[in-house]
Amino acid sequence: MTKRRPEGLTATLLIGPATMVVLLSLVLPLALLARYSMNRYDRRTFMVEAFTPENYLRFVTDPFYTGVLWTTFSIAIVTTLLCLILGFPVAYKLARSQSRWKSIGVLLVILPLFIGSTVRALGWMGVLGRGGIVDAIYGALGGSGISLLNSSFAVALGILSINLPYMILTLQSVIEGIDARVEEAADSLGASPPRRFWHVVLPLALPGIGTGGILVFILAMNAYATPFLLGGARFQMMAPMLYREFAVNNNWPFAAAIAFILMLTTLTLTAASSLLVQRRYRAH
Amino acid sequence: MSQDAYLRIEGLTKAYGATTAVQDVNIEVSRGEMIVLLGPSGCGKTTTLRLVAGFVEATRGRILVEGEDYAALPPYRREMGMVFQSYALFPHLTVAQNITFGLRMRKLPKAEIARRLDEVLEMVKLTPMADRYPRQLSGGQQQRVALSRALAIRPKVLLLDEPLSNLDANLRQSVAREIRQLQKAAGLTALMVTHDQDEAMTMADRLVLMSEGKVQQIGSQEELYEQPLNPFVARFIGHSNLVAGELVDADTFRLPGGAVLKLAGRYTQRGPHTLALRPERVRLHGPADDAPPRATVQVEDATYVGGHVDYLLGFAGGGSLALHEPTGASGSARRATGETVTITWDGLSERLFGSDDAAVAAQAA
Repeated sequence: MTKRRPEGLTATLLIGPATMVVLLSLVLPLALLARYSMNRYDRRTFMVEAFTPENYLRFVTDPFYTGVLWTTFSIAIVTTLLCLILGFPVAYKLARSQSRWKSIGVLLVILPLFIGSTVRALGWMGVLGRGGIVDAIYGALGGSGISLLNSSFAVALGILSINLPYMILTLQSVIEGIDARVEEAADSLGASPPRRFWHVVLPLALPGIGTGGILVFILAMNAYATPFLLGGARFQMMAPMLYREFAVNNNWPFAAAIAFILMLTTLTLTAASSLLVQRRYRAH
Repeated sequence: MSQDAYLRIEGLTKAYGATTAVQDVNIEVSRGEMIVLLGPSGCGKTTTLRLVAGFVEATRGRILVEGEDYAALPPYRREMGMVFQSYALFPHLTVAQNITFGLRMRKLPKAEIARRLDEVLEMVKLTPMADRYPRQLSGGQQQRVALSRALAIRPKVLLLDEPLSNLDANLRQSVAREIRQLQKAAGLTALMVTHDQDEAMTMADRLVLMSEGKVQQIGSQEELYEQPLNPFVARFIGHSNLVAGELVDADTFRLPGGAVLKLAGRYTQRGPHTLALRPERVRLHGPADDAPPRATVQVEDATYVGGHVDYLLGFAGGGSLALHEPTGASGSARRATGETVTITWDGLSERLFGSDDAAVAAQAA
């Protein structure tokens, strides 16, 4: 007979490696970054050891930077809402489908995820840019030389196309968890389809809407390649700006501060929205 | 009753591509009657119920309630209260909110909603549970909420889809009785689906036995049991023995293996037939028996199951027959395996079906 290992020890052994990875790859760099954000920047020596809030103050007092944060937030909110509105019907249809084409449908949703966001942004450039598909159609109709690039529209479209599959897949799995009989019960009790949606499907799908929304919102807040390639020089979002401070200007302390501001904003909004969802869910 | 039928299902058919799930179903239901659709799984009983509820669109046929055709209406306009096997309660709503859901959808005045809620809660004795959520209730309580939710809208027809099969065996009877009482008290016309024969027998005013999408027989418990219209009904209701053979003369039913059964000259139609015999109507022939012996068989197996001894009897040359002998009555001992015995039954107990599955008429003995 083998001796039984104490349960606590087994658990420690199993959880240990993952904990180490998280500690080394997430907590340590974050701590380092937090420390950097308090340092001072010097043109010749770059980073100077200090303990100052000036990087944060510079961000919140300069309308340019707060403007970029606001733009980022707006794009993230708009794309998240669009993902929800456009994704829900697709997710619902997929979840309730009993057709043998269902798996093909799911595959079609997943397929874009196989292509990196950079490649897809390049694709959008071909569609929206000068000499692109939209331009060609416009030209055929008698107009000439139109580019939809370097606009909030192009960036929102790009982010939307990247995030939509995540939203659809999240919602689909949650809707599949809602007993179809519950909807039929609502039906038989006299709820027309819109009212059934409002009183039964929506409240029951709320956890999925929350999860999907948070996921897509975080992705949009941190989008890099899409705003970089489709937004151009004039349309600024947080992640490309952070990169420029870091790599081009070599201003590590300020870049670290931007990183923290972006992270904290995203975290705060995420926590607030999930609390909101939970409260509404419980109130029902 | 054809003129005053409250609910009339006419030629109801549902085809999925080449397969027909429900074929030409005709049922007439009187006001306040409880009809139970019974049959093996896949026989079309659930589809029939879902057609009536409107969850499935009929390929053909009419669903008339008091002469008005409902077949084209969406489910939310049909006012049929449905009780589901899985209860299908709204998990995000309390018991009270579940029950009043249909009333709120109808935009009834608040006072009326409150009145009906109290009334229904009182009826199913769930008043103390009004503010609980479904997950905080036991299975039986959930089923009562589901039932009262359907009753609250005062449905034109109450539809019950296997309402008892998710309940513990010992709870089933009491819930069955409760459903029946409520249905009778409210004077509701009801259609129920079940695969459980005992459940069907206890709950129904009349039964509809279905198989392969078709109605096999409609009738009372006695009618289905005593006068099955075809071998399927005979076997499904009460597990009749079905013995294939040929009626060679008025008296002799010969099995393919050569064994012979005596039929007392009641049938004139010759040819290949199927004989249906209920295990509990056959008995071992004793010396004091008035009836003449009908056949000689060998005991292949004898199982004591308490109320009766379950015999499996074999005919010489093949074919077998189940026989249930009540225990304790005649003091008869359990026969040993391999023993040769004679069996008999009273004159009217057997039923003979022709090769077209139709019952062969018997002459009065």
